[in-house]
Amino acid sequence: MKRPFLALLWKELRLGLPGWLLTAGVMAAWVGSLLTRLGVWEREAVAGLTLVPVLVLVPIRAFWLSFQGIWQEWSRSHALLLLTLPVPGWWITGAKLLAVWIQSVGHLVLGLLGTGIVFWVAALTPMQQLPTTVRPQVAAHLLHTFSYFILAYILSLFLPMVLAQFAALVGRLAPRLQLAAAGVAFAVGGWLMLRLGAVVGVLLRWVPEITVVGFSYQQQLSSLQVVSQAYHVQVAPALGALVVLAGLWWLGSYLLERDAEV
Amino acid sequence: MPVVDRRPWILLTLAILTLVAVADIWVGPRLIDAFVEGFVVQEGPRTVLWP
Repeated sequence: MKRPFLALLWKELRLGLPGWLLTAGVMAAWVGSLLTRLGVWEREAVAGLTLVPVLVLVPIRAFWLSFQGIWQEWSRSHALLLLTLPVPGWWITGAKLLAVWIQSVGHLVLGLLGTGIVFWVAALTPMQQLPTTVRPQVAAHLLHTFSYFILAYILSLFLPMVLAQFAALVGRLAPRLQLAAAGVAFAVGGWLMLRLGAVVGVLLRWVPEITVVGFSYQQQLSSLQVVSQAYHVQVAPALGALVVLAGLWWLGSYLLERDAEV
Repeated sequence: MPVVDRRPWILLTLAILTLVAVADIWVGPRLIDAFVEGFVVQEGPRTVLWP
């Protein structure tokens, strides 16, 4: 990657730092307030609630920042400067997306850290009821499945981000009713992703399915039974949706480069 | 070379796509269901780990 792209990315990251810190502070306050609930609420519930910011706040923030990242360039009349830069449109849109994505992944790490802190403070040991001989096996499978969830999360962040950026770019191209045009573009983008994603997904069925393993344990009379259940999941539609999202991102970048007027 | 303002074409395309989307959602297979159906989940082996 060329240096101007990194310069753009660095600029976006620097601009996003105060907001990132603010959100990190909110997340820390959330975990702090949950720690006071230990002993009042179920420990498992408190641990689960630590993930609320990651599941709700971070995707909404990613959506908002991706939209505003484009929208405000026009509001603040920065777009003229941006468009005179001797760089392709996708460098500008890509740097903005990547910056928000990096920030969101940072928040994910913080969120997981918060969950870990609650687990530690509450002395929650998820596998304490399992016999010691099966714990390594269960832990390995859980880690494997958990890594898929993390991968799915960080990839799915692109969904609100790309749709928001695409909507903002199309909205800004409208001579009037820009916000309404952005709303329509968002809806049409979502429709394209679902419909075309399913079609592209059919073409990608050759991609190997992934296997996740779930566990259950039940007390049977006096003995404990631990059972594992494998699930094979076809991921082609998700990849199809990602391909369509990449197409929307390219289209938005193309529009920015070719058609945007300040 | 004449300067072409592409904005009307972009908005026209958006309007056409909106109509197609509405028609598709109206008469086509259910949008979310058709997408989610692709995520075929097959149950694999069930193993008793303990005892």
